[in-house]
Amino acid sequence: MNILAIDTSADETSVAITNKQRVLSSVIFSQISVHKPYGGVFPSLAKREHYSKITPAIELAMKKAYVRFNDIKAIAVTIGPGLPPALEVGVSTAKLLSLLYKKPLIPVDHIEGHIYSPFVQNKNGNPKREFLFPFLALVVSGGHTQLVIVKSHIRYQILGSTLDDAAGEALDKAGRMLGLGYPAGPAIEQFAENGNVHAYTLPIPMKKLPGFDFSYSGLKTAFKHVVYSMSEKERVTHIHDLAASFQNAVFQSLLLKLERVLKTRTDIPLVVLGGGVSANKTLRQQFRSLVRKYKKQPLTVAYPYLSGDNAAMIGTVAWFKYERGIVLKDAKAIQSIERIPRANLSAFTIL
Amino acid sequence: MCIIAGYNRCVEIIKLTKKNRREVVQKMCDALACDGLVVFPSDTVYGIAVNAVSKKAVDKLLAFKDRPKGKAISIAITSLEKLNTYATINDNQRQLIETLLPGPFTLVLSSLRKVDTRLEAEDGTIGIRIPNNKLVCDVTTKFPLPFTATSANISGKGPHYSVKAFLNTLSQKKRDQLSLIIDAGTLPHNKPSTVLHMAKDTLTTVRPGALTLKRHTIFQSESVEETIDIAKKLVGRYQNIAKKKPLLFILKGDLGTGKTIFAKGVGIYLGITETIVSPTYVVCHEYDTPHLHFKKFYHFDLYNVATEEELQVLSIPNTITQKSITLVEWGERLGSLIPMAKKTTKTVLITFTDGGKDKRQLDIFEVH
Repeated sequence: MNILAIDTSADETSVAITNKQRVLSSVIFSQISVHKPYGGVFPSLAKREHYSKITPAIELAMKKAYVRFNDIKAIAVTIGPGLPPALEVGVSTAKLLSLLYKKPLIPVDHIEGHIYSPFVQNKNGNPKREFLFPFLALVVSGGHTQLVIVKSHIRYQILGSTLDDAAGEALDKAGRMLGLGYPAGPAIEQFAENGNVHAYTLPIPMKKLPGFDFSYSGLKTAFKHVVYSMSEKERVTHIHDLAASFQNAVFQSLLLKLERVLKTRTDIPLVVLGGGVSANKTLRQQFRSLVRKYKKQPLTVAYPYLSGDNAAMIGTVAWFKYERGIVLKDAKAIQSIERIPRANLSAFTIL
Repeated sequence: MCIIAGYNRCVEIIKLTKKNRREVVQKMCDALACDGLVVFPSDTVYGIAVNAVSKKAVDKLLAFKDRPKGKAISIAITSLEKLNTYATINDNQRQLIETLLPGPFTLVLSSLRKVDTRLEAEDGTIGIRIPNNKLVCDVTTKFPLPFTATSANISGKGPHYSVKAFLNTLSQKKRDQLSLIIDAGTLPHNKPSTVLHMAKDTLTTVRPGALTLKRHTIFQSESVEETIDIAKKLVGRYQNIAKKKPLLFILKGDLGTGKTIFAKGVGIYLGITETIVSPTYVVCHEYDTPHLHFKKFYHFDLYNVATEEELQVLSIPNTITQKSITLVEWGERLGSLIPMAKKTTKTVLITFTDGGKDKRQLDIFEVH
């Protein structure tokens, strides 16, 4: 049961061939050079025109997996959330392939992908991880910060979301205030390693407010006032402490909300962490120890590439959707599918 | 290059092509250094450049232009950093200037008397331009002194978009006074620069040009709630216009000055129940609204948009539909798209200034 999955929600043009939870091949054409985390590289929207990359990505993914279109059972695609012109490329390509080769189409929410990312396996079917429902998912990336309860496969309940900036976005903007370029997240992590998290007093966002929502714009502004009150030289001298203090404030607010859920929902046996920011070692450690403190099982992605945007996770979700009949077979239905730039786990899921 | 024969003294006319900019820049610098009069293409019309600190050069220019004494002649400089050298500006002005330049604006500021005083107006002000034009930028970088950037015409006559048309209006005597003409063909018919008088605290438009900023309202906000209220008030003020034209709000301000908060206020006014979140990562969020006059709310954020090429991909002016309101954070990056957008929309520029802690100042300008 091979699925060809496509994700073009933001910077990455990504195609994968998956079989159930196993990834036969994964191709990610990234716009951001991994070698230049300090170079001040901007994500290029022009390059977000994935049109030039999508066909080579599909060809390469199929070649690496030794499959032809005859071997593909269904096409899966991210319909949102994401950048509209970028999503458009993936959705229209998937529709075209689906109609041309008469394969069913499976629309997938990008956030669903991140939720399922810790369950994605390699070619040989490892790691073997068990789904224990209902489980809790914390998705933290450049564009999203969400706490979601997964009641059963493809059935979600959003507990909390960000009210303004996403956590990854806040880290990136703080990094840029320190002159760290784009993406600043990995640079912040590196500097934070040798820094003192208590060097600067920053507010832990939403600490005093009830509920499970997140907010980072107030913290961002508070940090700005700290940074701007310093001279260029002071900033450079104290960059480790600045990075550590800010990163800590962001993570504390994430963990605080997570802990709130853990305290109230004793029925949850499993907690997963997904999204680009989960690549951060400190966050993963703190996440694991908090979840274990409540005697629950923590899960993070098995392979580093799965924390960022990728099509492998989309293919994995698609398999569970396919099993439950959430597929489009009718040509008219396939044709009518459109991107949903602000998708919110409600389209093509089980309510 | 061709030398026009039959003139008493030879005027050199050099054609500007894609390949010879470097050479042209060098020639222009040389001519300026010899106190010559240079006709050059700018981002608006053809201009006349002379070394602004040389008495001899300014003598020549004044004679050429028949300019009455006491009427200012503007100068071109390289960058905002250089502004302090020639004029006094305060922080408020600086913030505004950063929004406007480089671009089709001439700023009238209190002169520090570093250039020939005959270029100043009677009230001691000087007009300063930072043109958005590669040739001029290169020359300002290479030539160490400021030079004039007055339009190539005789005082009281209209500006020129082609060298031929300009030369046709000149007598032989006038032609002889020129030393170099840089011909870039017929320039697009942009209006001359808008002249903004900033020497006093208030901002007034002296000459309406390519872009005009009007009706300067200032709001002071002390809290998130007040910023939200200001946003609601502003959309309310313009909602009747929305029946005829879509509304475009260009938001300019540093990180953490309340731009997204402002967007939340717009959302509340329109009756959108979803949470308005920062669109930094995906660049654009689109909302349907239950409001009578505004059917759609487009919320852009150009924070991660770095080049003109990327802007083209977004094609923001094409996105804007009738009966909609569009809000663009980091909207100054729209650059050349603003003049295009203002034709089809009611365009409002809002600048956000951080006054420490929760204090913010919002300056509202209508763009015409």
